[in-house]
Amino acid sequence: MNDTSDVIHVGIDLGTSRSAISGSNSQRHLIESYVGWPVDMVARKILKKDVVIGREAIDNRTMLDLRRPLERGLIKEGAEKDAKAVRELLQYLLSLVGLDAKRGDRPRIRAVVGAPAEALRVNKEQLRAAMKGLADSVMIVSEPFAVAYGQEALLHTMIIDMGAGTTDFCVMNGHYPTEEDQRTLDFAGDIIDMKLATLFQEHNPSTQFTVHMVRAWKEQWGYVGKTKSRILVTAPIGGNPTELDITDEMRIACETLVPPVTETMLDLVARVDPEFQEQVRENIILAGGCAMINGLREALEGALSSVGGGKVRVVSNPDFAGSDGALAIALDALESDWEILTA
Amino acid sequence: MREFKPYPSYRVVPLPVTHVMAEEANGSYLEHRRQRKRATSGMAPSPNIKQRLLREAVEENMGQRPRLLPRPIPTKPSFWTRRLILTLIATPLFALSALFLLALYPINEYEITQFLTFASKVLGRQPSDHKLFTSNIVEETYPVPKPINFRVFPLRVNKIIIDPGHGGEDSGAVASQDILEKEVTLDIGIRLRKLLERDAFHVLMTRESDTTIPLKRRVELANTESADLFVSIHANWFKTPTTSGVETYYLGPTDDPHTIQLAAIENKGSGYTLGHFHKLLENVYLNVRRTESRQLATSVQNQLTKSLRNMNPKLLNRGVKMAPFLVLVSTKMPAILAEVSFLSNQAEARLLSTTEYRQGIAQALYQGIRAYTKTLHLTAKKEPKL
Repeated sequence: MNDTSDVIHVGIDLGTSRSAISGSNSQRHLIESYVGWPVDMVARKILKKDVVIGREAIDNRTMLDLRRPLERGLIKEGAEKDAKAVRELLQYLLSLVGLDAKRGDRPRIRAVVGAPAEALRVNKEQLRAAMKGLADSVMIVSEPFAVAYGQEALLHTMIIDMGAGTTDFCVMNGHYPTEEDQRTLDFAGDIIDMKLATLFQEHNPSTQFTVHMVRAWKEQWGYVGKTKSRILVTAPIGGNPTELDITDEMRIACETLVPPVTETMLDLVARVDPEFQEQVRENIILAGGCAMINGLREALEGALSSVGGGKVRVVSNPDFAGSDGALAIALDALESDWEILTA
Repeated sequence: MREFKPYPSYRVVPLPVTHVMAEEANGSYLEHRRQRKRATSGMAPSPNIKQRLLREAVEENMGQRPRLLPRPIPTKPSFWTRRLILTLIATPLFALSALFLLALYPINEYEITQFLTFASKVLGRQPSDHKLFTSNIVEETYPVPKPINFRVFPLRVNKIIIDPGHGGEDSGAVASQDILEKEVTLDIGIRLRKLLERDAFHVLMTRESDTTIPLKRRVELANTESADLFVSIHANWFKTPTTSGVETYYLGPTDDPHTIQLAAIENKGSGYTLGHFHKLLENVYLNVRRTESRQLATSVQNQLTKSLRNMNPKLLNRGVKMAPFLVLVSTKMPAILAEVSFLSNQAEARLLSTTEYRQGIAQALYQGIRAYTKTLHLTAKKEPKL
């Protein structure tokens, strides 16, 4: 549905594995952060496109120069193709909400984009440069802050945004988070995927599998702690589909995330003003794809029990928490703010 | 102009009926969000807090914009002509001087990376400083000469230093059952020595009894004896009692707050002064030593995890990590520091108090070292690549 009004606000969450966009024209979409270009004429003829994005890119990866241009949630430095891939990704996201950045008669686009908590200034500038020409005004905010804003959890709360590339922490104390309030860890979904792949390879050396299969298993059955049933997956061994039990491997892989996340969470809680530490402990919010790992919330609450207890909740739509929050910021920002922030 | 064709959506998520983004006006969306109070969230933020946060977010974004606008083209050609001529003359001179200096004082890739990281951090720490001109820092990379592959030289491991952590006045970590880290590390160290000596390795220990030995003396022993490997044994401790597992460190920088804290604790009472530290850092990042240390650490960590899981099925593999422990900084041979379970974890502390578990740890360390030394011998058997 295209909005006919003069201005469209969008919130964008550019993730290492998945990117989300929420538009003020009541549309929101989630795609895999993959961009591919046909490797030759034959591929172009089959695909009938100059560039392929998202799940379609993964499914047709044998015919594509496939790029995953975001690393740890930020634009990979160095390769020009990665920068181009990010622009294609952003353009595609905008098109999904009915916005063609290249059309002259399009409505004005005002975008808020989330960046990892500890993103360096130069990385934010790269994001801004990538948005140039695609949106009229751009604001870059920290991702966990966007989640906090969207959840209206702005006072004495902690946001833990667990994505694929990074896990971002942000303590909200009623002011815009500073460096001391935020933390970014490289331990996130991709580490779990690597660990699971390594363990799977060790225990089933002749099995044929890809990282996409491993990721799909994790997203479907990932857990920490105890599970009620065994996890059985099918993978070929010498071309013969075979059922394999990966229950223990899944648990070990997912649990690699728990120590660093727990330690960082407790460290940040310890740095909060002592008068408000209990409130923060009682208001910890999990967002991001990894927040949906079964038992993770309970594991974090278990860690909090050693420091007086606490409560962790998972947002209702973890994949869209960042983009919804960014949209909320975009909608609340004043007209005069956008004038200053013209791209 | 290419006609725009919308791509097919990957996945359109149907919005829940209650989600007010279906409404037409921005205001109603906001109103609905305010009304939809989340019972378990923190104190409901007042409009003032939200406005203030928005202001601060906008200001932070303003602080990131380039301060200087592009300059207008000057109307006096002669000024620019002079500038151009000066630039044309100065640039080759500068380039020649830089090349000459680089030839005299070569900078390795690691130093370039460190400098760029430091520069980025300095810029990043001043988000509201409007006087800063921000631009993309472009990393100029020059081809770095490849280091000689250490494995070309078929060298053996003969002498190994075992460093049981702490000792004497320094008890190290203390478990709630009064188990002292210094006792655990010494016991494991002695067991490991027996296993290695059985395999004809020449083994020396930085301490063989409950004595206080500063880090500096431990390092001096290793360097004086020209040891081939340095293995330091410690038991871990963390304020969260549920934290568990084994981890092995080799030399390198880290941003992990836990590792930084751990390194600061372990480096206490080093015996080094600031003057010494400069000299220590001169040769710190020799690539060969780091590569071999990493390989040794990986081998040891794999064995620790594999072997100890038989006795402790819940053992967590915390992986191979880098850290600036002084014993790793100052030694001149491949060096690792193994944190063999957590004394702060009751279950692991109980295990560490048993002789079977300690023997298992010693066995795992021995097998890890053996596996590493075997890779050196395997390489020696192949044709060296020149």
